[in-house]
Amino acid sequence: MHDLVGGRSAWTVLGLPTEGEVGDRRRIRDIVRPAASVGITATIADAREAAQASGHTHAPIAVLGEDNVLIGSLDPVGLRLPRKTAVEHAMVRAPGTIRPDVRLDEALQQLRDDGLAYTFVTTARGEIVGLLFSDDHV
Amino acid sequence: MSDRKGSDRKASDGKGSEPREPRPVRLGWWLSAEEHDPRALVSHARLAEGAGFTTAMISDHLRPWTRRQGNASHVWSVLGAIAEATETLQVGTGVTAMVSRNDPINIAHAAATVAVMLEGRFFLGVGTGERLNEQPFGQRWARTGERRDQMEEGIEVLRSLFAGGNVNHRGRWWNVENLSLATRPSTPPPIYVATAGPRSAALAGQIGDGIIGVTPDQRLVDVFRGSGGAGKPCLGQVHVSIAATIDEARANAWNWWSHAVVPPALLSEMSKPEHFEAASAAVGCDTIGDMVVCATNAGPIVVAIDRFVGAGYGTVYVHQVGPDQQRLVDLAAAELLPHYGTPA
Repeated sequence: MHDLVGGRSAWTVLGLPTEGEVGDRRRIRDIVRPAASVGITATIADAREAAQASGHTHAPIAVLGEDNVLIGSLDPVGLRLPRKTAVEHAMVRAPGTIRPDVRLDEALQQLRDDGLAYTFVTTARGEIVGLLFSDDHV
Repeated sequence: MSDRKGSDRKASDGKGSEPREPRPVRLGWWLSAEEHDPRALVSHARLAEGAGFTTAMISDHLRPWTRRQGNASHVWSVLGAIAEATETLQVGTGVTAMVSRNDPINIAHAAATVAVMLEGRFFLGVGTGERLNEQPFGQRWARTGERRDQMEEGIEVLRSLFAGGNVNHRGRWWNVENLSLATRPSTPPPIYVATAGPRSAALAGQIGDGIIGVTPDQRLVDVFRGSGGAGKPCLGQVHVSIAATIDEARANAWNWWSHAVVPPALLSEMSKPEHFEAASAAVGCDTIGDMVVCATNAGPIVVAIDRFVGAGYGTVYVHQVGPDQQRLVDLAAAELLPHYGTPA
């Protein structure tokens, strides 16, 4: 039997079973929620508008640079700041992220182990994909 | 996928929604019991209330960080006087430790009395303490995890005593035998837990009514919320030195709050004010401006407060370092409180 290494890697990356039963094959990308987002030059007024438009007013707002790359996070409490406040001054830089191809059960367990309520999901290049919450059910 | 331009997906995820105009950021006044004598602290509480502040927090120390600071009054005595001197100001401890100095019975006794005097305006801040305030009792300085366990069990005792009825408790750290507090408020005061790392943030989420943080660390807020603290208050603290010039502001900060440059890992471990003085001198004054916002106007202070709010803190206590408290009163009334939507 040929051992096609490339094929095995692709198989593994896609989360297909390597032993035993099939189990839960879902990945983060299967349930990731959209994240409200604003550009780095936005104001708190813009962030409020983005949060309300997304319907996620209790979720952090992604602050994006060029090419939709995540560069900061604004906690929803930050929406209480005066409307003209520059988001850049209030945001927390370089928030924690996770990749969309990580297995869902592993990712949720990691969030719970770390006691985290959420994490941003980005591609390996930092482009925003969305948000994963620890109370998202498997 | 990104939802940068909005989405028709509304709040159907159980996270709820907020009103269009969120409630404003709340600014608090920090009463530094290490720097001011008890009569001045009462006077400052009255000043803060008059300036438009709605909340204040007072430090609970047995000794000052440095001898230059020169004070460390008994917090419960001062709180009793503040209760009489103010009418609307909420006041809490920041923070009270249950290690050697304070048995939870004594804290519950004092806190219940102050809560009655303040008539719903009191909150109890608790933490794992500093060796500075515990070593005079001559006992072993326990590691952080042990002190966290002590605090956790202590909070359980506090809640039992606040709830009323006869309390019996025989635990690993604390005992109570047949005690019922005769003087206690009808509603127990909220217990806010000081948080410096993810473990204390997680514990605060599980057993606290809120957190008190000293750095704008969004991860701590998130761990707190993810551990049961969602929707509960997050209180932050900003040290400022407002003066006529930046040089004066830096000199004032260094003169009165030099221990701020001591690495956080050492803050809870050193046992004498002289140790803090030596460590501060070794580090030097170059970084004091990174730890204390040195300013001549509201701009840098607003930026520092905004960082806390952006990280999830809804209330930020402003500590004007040094004797000139009037500068903060004036700046707050003229600029800070109006800026954040609190009428002066």
